Amino acid sequence: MLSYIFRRLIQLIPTMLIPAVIVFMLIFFSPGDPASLMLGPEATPEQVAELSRQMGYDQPVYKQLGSWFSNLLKGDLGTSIFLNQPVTQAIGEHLGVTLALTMVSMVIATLIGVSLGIVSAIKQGKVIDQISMVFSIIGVSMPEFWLALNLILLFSVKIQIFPIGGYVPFFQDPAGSLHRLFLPALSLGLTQSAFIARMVRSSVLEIVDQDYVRTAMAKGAPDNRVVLKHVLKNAMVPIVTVVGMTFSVLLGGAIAIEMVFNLPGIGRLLLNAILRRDYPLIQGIVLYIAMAYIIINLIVDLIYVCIDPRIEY
Amino acid sequence: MKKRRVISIALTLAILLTVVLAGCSGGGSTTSTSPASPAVSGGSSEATPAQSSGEPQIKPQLKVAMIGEPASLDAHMTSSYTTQEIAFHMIEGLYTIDKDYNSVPMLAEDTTVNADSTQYTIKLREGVKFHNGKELTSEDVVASLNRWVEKTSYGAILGKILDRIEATSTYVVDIYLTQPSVVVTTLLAFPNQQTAIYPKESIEAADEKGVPAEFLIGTGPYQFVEHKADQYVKMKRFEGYSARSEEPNGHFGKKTAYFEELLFIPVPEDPVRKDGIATGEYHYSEQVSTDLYELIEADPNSIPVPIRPERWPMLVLNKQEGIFSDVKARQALLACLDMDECMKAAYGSDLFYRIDCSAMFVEQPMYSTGGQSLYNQKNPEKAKQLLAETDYNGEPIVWYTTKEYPYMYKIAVVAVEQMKAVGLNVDLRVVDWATIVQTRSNPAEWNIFSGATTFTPDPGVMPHLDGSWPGWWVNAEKDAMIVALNSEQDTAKRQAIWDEFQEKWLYGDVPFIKVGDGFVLSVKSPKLQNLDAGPFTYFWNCYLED
Repeated sequence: MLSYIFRRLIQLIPTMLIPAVIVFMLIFFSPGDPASLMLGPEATPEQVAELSRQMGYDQPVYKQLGSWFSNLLKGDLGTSIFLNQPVTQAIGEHLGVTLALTMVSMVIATLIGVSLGIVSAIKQGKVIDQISMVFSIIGVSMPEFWLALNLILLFSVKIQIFPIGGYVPFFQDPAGSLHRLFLPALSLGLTQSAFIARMVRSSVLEIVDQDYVRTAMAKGAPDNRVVLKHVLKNAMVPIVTVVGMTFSVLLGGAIAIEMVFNLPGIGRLLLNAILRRDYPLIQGIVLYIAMAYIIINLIVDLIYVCIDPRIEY
Repeated sequence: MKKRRVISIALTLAILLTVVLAGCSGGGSTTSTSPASPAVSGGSSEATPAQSSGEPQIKPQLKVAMIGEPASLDAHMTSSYTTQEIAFHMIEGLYTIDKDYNSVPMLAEDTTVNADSTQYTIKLREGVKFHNGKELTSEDVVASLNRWVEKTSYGAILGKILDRIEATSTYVVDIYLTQPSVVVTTLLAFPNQQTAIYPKESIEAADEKGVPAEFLIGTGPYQFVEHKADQYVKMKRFEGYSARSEEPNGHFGKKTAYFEELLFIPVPEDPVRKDGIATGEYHYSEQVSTDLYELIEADPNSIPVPIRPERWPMLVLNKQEGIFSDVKARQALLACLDMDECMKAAYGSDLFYRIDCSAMFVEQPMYSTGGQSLYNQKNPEKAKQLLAETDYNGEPIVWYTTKEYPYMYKIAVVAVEQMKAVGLNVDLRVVDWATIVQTRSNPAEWNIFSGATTFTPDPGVMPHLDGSWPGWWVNAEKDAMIVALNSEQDTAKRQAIWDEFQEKWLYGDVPFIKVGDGFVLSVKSPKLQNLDAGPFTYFWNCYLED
């Protein structure tokens, strides 16, 4: 087991570095440079060239990439051009927002998605199944930002029971923090729950027709015990997979939701970094997203062991 | 089984750790703070008792929703509007503008100019304090001005004719020029990239990224507290502010801070900025879509604030390479355009645009109707005739525009159809602004790019008239006329020179094409009183009423 974990962590290195290099090359060869954006539209070409020179962005691509690598080996992701702070600090300050949003969204998504999926599967063909599946199709098709704007219109503008956006750190004001996170988390959670519900339904349907389930029911076991102990437990592997995937996607930052609700998370940080050609910050965030994916997938793989004793590494 | 339990515990701990990190991050460390920033109350609704009866009460906080995150808080570093609007409150310049856009002294007491306008002797106000308690002296001004000349585009204009800046005595600064100029105080006054006066120590601490946060010190009515990227910029009332005694008049005169704190919050989404006023989240939101005007007007909790004037969109033509190196082609393009259609598409309601030929707004000194007959001609036949006199054979005209400024894109879409109608083949490329900024420096890559000019203090300092500005309007005769304009001391004669210049050069030579005057729409809370909203909106002298 430990050697498996170690091997997966070693795989982290090329999996992080390859996209970081590709992104660096893409950004480098894209038009636009940070100096002209920083100085504004009235800057003279001479001022832009001078700032580029001072920041080292007039260097050839191999020199810039080499410099970045050598700093990376020392654990230095560089300094954000626009924020004028270490990339690690910038990511750290924005990560909390994304983590909070992700956690609350996942709670909503999992509760709704798993419940709905199980009910749909158990009541396959019935009205509730059809309603659930219509909901799930709408959910996977609906843009999150559209739902978000409508939720704002209803709950923030018309009824005024939730604020329009913004973020408060949890330990500064727990109630206020959750109050502000609820609508964005609901926007994300509802759309993700639709996807989870479909996966749960498919997974549970494969299990309910198994002989051991029929046997348990024939022996008179209560329905809820059959579902929870026999069906759900055996259907958990694909469910955990899809929940894990959703989690890692959300950890990368829900850009649209963060923009609509004015949340200073990783998604918004990345979008702004791209628009501003903030190269060190873009690369730092790409590394973080790659790392998040791998670690979440590793955790999911380890959870399999807990769920299914047949799985061994 | 034991193995599985260990793993389960480890995973549980990992998840718990994540929750803890989520709670801890974002609230502890701050991006940058001023060195002396005591804890500031943010939630109290109690007002400081009024200084005297009848005077507005000082309220705890004003929240301003801005269109985005400032690139820098150092006013010398960027012409970005977001930076300037924040910087107005903490730094001041030697000169500023009044409500009629005249240049008036701010940190200067008065200025004497020698007979041929080559030496400006500026006497400073005495006893003016910086936020760190230090008194403003000439060495601070010299350091700041030299940096302003080096860093800013308006400073670069002065830099071309600057000999030196000297601190003659503790409160006197002399500016020596290599040639006569009457626009020095205009350049010093312009709020965008203004001659922000920092302490000398702040200038010495600055690097290529700007003045560090802990050295963002000025003489303004508010002082910098902290900046959390993508969250807010916070300022607090400066108790030791050295106010002028004159009646408030635009950026000039007495400034009174009626808030303990100013909070500038980046809110990139239009609807959120608008709805934030209706819900009471913000007190002022800048630049929302003009399409929302009727909704805002109908809402009792929001008051629309049209900002007039604000900018004018333009088509910048490549005069160095390609079809528009031929003046006939440029004149043809000018002839075919219907500015009414273009501006209507860009701004919707005519509350938010004005068809006007002048490079200076009608509200400004130096407004001119020179060349009016050549503006908004809507004459495709004339355009075809002019085009026939060129070598144009239908090759694609590359036009770069962007949706990041929706008005630019909408104008381009409409104008392209008008151009096609006269036989011009247009390749419209919609990219982000960063791409335009870089692409425009290469004459081989474009024929037109969408641009705009925000408020310009004086026609003689317009960057677009310079031969080095993208578009490359290189013309010795034109340059000579600009020198004459900037040397002429008589106001009436200066106006006459500019009238002639606009007609002969802007509308005769067509280096760029002005489409019209564009205005923007901001929104405020009904509680916000005495706000002087304009192209350089500020938040002193205004106050909140319950």
